[in-house]
Amino acid sequence: MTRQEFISKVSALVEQEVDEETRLAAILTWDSMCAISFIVMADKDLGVSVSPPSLLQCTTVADLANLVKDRLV
Amino acid sequence: MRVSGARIRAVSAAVPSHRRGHDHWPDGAKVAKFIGIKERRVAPPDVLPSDMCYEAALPLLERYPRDSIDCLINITQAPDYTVPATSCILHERLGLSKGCAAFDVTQGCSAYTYGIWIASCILAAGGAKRVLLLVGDVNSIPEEDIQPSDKATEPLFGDAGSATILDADPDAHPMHYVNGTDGSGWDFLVVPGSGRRQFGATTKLAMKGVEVFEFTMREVPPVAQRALAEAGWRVEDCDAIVAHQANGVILDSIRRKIGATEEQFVRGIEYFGNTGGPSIALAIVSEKVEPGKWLLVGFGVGMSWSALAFDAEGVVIYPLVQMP
Repeated sequence: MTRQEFISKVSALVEQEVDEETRLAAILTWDSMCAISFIVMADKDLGVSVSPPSLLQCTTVADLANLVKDRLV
Repeated sequence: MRVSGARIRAVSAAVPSHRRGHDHWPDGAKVAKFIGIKERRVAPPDVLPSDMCYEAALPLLERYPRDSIDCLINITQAPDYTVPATSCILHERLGLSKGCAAFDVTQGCSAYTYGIWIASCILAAGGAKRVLLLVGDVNSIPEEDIQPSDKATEPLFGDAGSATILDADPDAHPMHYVNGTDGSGWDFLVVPGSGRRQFGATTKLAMKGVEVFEFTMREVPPVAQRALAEAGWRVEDCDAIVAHQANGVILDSIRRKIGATEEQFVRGIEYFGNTGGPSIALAIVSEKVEPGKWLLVGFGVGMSWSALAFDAEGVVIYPLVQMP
């Protein structure tokens, strides 16, 4: 998965256009459902297990990308 | 762990008649789609797990004489009283004999497989000849008590009771168990005011949903696979896989991770929600699961798990009891 494809996946999850600079706190739809959907996506599409503590530390979309950076091309 | 000498004879389940969807939430349709639950059966305030288990047990007692039952096990997180054991109250209501042992166990989402494990160990050891296992829970929130802060939990839960007859039988197929606990997650799901530690605190469930989900993804699929290995089966050998009906996302993820097909993987959550302890029994009954090679996987609050692989040859599934 490319970094751009990843951003598109996250945009679909939160149902709005985001970029790497977008702050999670600014995404009104970012809630526990999105967090779980993100964990599922990382596991299913990228084979990465994302831990809740590491997810909680994320403040931007770029931080989310960093959780799975080894699987992005 | 292999237990030989016990067999499940019959499974029954009962649900309240009242249905609750998600219309009371502003984004109810989105929530319903995400969790894979269209509606739940919700018990009125005066109906407890023991009432639903009682209703589930009655049809079984028409076939299995009351005086043949020498052990009653009741598992719930919502007993009639903490003193006395609800099993004693049910013993009287069901008209069981004085020669029948009766005790309660506290366990949540892994209750059904835990109950079968306890019962089968008692039966295989010669401690009883016939066990009536009752597993029931009420996890729904009364309509008038629902608050915006309940959004993470309220849409998930429904109510149900179940009853299962197990017999000692030296010719029964062996039962293969994998049980376990990770107590470090005890506060992932907790009702603070449910006991004496925080007496007077809220009696609503507090859930760390993301942690629960991550725990389930990490721990449960390997447990299911270990139970299959104990039985010497591959996943494709299973006729039915019935996991705790937690929510649609978790069920889909477990199915994907263990490589089961949609046909094998029983999904009874859409119209009943997560009923906690009895959810596996309810899914077996509501989806009319055929006897065969079954893999049952209980997991959840505790955090706790118990998986069971066995040939359910001859198990009789009773029709779902719809309470008035």
